[in-house]
Amino acid sequence: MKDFTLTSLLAISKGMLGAFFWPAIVLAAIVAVLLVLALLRQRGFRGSAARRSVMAGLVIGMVAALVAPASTKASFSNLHGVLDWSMLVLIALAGFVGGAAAVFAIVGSASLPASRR
Amino acid sequence: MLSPGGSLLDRRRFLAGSLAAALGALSSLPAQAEMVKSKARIVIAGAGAAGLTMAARLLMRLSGADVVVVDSRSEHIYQPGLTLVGAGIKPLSYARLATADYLASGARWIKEDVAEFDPVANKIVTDKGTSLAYDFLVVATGLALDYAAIEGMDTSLIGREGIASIYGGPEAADASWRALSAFVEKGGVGLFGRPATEMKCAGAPLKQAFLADDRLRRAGRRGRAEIVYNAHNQMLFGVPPVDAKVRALFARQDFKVNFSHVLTKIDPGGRIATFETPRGTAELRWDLIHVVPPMRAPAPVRNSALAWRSGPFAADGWLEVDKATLQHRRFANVFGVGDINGVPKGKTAASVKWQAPVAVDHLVAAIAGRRGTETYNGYTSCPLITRIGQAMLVEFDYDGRLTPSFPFIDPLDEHWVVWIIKEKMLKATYTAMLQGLA
Repeated sequence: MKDFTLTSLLAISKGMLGAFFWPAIVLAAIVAVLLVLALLRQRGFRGSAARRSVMAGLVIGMVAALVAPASTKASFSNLHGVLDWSMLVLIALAGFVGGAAAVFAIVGSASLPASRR
Repeated sequence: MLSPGGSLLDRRRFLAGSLAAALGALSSLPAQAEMVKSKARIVIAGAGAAGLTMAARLLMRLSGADVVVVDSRSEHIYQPGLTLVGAGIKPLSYARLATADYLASGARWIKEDVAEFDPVANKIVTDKGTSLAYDFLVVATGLALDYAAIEGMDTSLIGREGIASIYGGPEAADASWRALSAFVEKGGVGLFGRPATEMKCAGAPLKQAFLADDRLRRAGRRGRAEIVYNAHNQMLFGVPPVDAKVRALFARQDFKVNFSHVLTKIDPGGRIATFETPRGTAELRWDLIHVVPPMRAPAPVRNSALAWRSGPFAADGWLEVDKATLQHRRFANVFGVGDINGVPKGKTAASVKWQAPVAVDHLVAAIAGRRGTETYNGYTSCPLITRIGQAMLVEFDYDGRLTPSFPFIDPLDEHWVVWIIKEKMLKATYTAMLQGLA
């Protein structure tokens, strides 16, 4: 564990994502900027944009959890014990949070500012 | 959402381990190792996992040194991937990399092979007659597969007559998958085992048996096949707690086991394998046989003054290094990394990850005129696949003690998470290692 530094993790992520690494970084940066914009425009995580993003996040999180085992050529019968089920929950959570943030970033930054409603 | 087997103790252990791991990761900032200025000439024999990793790490520590890698191969084989190719989980291309993509910039590459080591004169001579003098030598040649030691065996047979052998390389692993597929289709007797020599990744022969079993079960044809594992001695794995676990798994999966059976001969036409046993020879018929060849040091090392002269590693010519510092025991300017070392354990890619920093530490210390401090404890790792979708993360040291890297992963438990590490993350970790980044 002591050898898994930030540099290592970055190198490993780059190896895992391959050609998608930099596009993913750029996309994440764009979403981050839009998210800040959306939070400013909506004066926080609120309104219809927030509701829609939570719903989208829930769907995305569930889909992520459903497809996760198959995406590794495994099945639900391979999940064993606290560790594996916790991983699945983490994947679902990551899908929910990431999905909700992305949807709110897009919808929230494109919607009317809260002050005009 | 917890599986029926999850106990309160498991949950507490998992939470405690996760917290410790998270805190550890956050607090571990890399200590910037000092760069040492030197015009030392360093020759690295071999551009496999060990050679490329050493080149990258040495160039991160040395400014001005001449680092030369000697290896004729343009293709770099990702050997941990051969198990997955051999079971049809990954395509042939998965195990193929290009040396040029991972050779550290700043290293010179001589596309020839070492034919002779002369540590007394501090030089090597290649198969093309090139003589290279060195101040320091890193022996990272890997090992030689001695298929010829099995009478009747030749690598051209892999994929034919039910003969599989993933160790032969990507093409051999792909051909092995075809042989396994035919076995799944037709059934019969599948023979698995390992040689009596030292070998790389002692878990791989077990994995092939487990994967063949899983493929048969997934096809609904397990009842038409018999899996027979021929252990070379009285153990299935050299680490006692893992051995006990594997025995239990073999019993669960209904494998037949023969102990002290060493493959000495095959008859491809008759599909008969001959084994040497304490009670004489034994012949077994196969429909599929996974051949794992005896392994020894390559001839240039075996025939040099660098090989062990006595002891358990002498017969097969392994490199005589101190097991803690990886420095040669008689030639202080020679170091060994990877499969070539005559040490009790440590013939896996993960071992290279831990060996390389130790060898670099002592080599750079020697240049700087001081003593190195790092030591290698024999760390060896084997993600032991027990079926597609599950594996155990077995890690141990020279003394056979289990040394888990992740406190929340029970090394003797089969997990999807460990399968994810093997199937999704290990190759990226490996290529990061080649670049000195992991």
